[in-house]
Amino acid sequence: MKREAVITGAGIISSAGACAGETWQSLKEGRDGLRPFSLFPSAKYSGMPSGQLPADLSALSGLTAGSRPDHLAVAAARQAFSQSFPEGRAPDPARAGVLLGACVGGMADSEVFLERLLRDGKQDTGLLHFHECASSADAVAGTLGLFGPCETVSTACSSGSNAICLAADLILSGEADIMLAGGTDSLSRLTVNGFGSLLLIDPQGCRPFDEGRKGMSLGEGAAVLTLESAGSAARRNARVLARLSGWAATCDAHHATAPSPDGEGIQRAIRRALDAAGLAPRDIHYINAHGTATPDNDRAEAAAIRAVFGEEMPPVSSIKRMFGHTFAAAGAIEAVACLLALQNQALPPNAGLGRPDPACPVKIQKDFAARALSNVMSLSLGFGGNNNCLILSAAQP
Amino acid sequence: MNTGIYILNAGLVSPAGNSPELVLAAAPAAPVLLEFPGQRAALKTAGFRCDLSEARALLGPMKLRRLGRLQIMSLLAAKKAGLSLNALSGDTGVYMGTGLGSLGETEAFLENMILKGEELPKPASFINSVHNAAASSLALEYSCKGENITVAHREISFDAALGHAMSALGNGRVERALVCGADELNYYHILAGEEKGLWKTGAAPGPPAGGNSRGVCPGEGAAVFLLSAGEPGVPAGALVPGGRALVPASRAIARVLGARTARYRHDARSYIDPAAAADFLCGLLDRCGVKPAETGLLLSGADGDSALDAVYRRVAAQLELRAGRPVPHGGYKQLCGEYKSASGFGFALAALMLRAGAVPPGMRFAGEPPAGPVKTILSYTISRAGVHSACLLKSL
Repeated sequence: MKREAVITGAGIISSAGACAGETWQSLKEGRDGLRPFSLFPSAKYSGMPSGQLPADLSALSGLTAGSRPDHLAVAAARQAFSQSFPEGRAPDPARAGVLLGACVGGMADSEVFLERLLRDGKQDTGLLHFHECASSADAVAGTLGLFGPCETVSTACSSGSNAICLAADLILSGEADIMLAGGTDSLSRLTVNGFGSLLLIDPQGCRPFDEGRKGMSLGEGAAVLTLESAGSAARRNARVLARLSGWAATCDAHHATAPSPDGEGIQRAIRRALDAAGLAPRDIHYINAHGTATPDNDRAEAAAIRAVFGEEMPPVSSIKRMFGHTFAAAGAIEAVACLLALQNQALPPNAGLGRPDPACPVKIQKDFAARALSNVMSLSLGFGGNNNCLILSAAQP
Repeated sequence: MNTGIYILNAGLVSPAGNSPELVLAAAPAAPVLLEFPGQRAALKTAGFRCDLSEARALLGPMKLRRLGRLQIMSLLAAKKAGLSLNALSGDTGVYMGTGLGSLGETEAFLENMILKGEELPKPASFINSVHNAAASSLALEYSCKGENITVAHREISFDAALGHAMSALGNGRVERALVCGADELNYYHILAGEEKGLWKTGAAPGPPAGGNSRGVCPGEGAAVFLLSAGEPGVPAGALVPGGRALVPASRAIARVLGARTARYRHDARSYIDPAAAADFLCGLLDRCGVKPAETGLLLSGADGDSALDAVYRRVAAQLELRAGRPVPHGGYKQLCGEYKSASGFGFALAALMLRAGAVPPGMRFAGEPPAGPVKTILSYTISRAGVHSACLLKSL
């Protein structure tokens, strides 16, 4: 029996927009969402193109306190929740839960704690209050009054997608009827300096699948989907936006950071997701690639797509030029982008592309275009060889 | 077909010892004043630290140089579990629970950045600092190519990871599952905790019998389990429809019946309503087809803090009401200290206890210990932050 969950709400906050409508407009225009980095002083990274958001995010969430990811997660979750439940509450809060991907947590404040301690010998432990990754899921559940499962997944850049898969699994196993699932992350000195130390940042801004690409651009944001069982949505007469019809996660077990060059693990994730959805490769009409614009990532991902789909592959685009790479939020943001593509029957463009890299033999969708779409695929890859594939399908099969 | 989920291997790195024999025989020891190499100020806190001296021989000097403490602890626990590349390569998923991840590597990267500036970073420490670094190291070591999930949600991290592993096995998404719980002691974490008044000073905790002091004793540990779908009496290599091989359950340590997590209605003073907690536990029992009266032992995450330990005792009393008979209530954190994924240690102790058919001498009870061999153990963990979790194990 096919296992699928339905999507009845979506929320998204990023440098591309503060809601789904603004985000779709940015996608239509292929708008470069990167702006000069200035979130904290940095001799080395100030001014680099990044998907940075305003310093004060409290107005977005309504929270009186919290980490940056907490504010972003609550803001996105409120959007999804209000779309699914205009009346303002879930039918049975004990059967409704939250599962978010998060990597950085409150690190931006924890770094300030450590700096003050090392430089001045002073401990400001209040800065550590929201340190844990779990803080964001707890904030969402607390704000919305949900008492089902409440968990956080942290698998680097595949966190958001993994959270969506595991949330769907909790619904289908009967642990919950409704799950708010997605990802949230913010910029921090750890991640900016960390990826910079690995020489993975392109100082000119990311150019996914471009022949001259030199690396990522970093970003921050959050996206949340409301997932339900088909039965739950039917009982409420809820409007189904799309179906999460298939998903799969694998591990390369190849290297701590780099994907296997032939994308073997990505291929397995794609094939398993297709099997789970009961679909053939030809049934996929668009692929949203992870497409970080590092030389290794794009090459491996393209190899995997080519191996599975062959010559008859669907159009592929990476949208990271419009958002930056938002780590744990990336998979969730891209799932929402796929949802919007399905709803609007159009293909998001691969912004930042000059000359396609011939070593990445995929059909890059350079421009925004109207297209009939029934099934779309989103790929997310993470440090540690994590691979995740989501398939979203039109609300009506 | 009576297919269930079975624990085939268990490995521990714990303050109580790094082998099942040591852990089962361990008596609660006094916590030791914590010291860290290169620490800037002396700590006042005593805690429970693991002995990693075997790591050089079992993992090799290269790994010790390249990897962080959490990764080393996890790999060492896997070695102690007797896992082999042959047994695990391919369709094995890794499901890790860690509340705080690789604190040591995060500290190393940030400290270096703050003191030496941005031009001389430590990229290896950044790679090791991600929460899923330990799960990735396990996958690399044993070529595990199935799902690779790390749950980082406070004190329920291990039980949540266990639940996802069980679902993956039950649905056939993976053929085997490595389930792990690990957290490490860290200087800045202890220092900040001193400032916040989190830690006990003085004597070791005696949960769950109810001391009268606040605070906990910090600890650390790594627990690794190999889980598989199994069936009692099936010959080795037997296949079920679909071609998936089952493992003879007779090889197993114990059977895992279920795991569950949820948020609870939180009260800052009394944490959780005991009746609601008992409802949560009975919900798990019911789903696993176990009556409350069949609960042989409640193993709680009582951590020596008088306020939370009192909550656990009230929950245990509510469970007894539903069972209609006394349910022994034991604790384990006097052996390992308090850390976010400590329920993994509790899970190991429960599994070993079920296999041995005897109560470990180091276990402490609020009330009477079990009168005889225990056949079903319900493990329950409350996080002060508003979530709780439970898992249920049964003897073979």
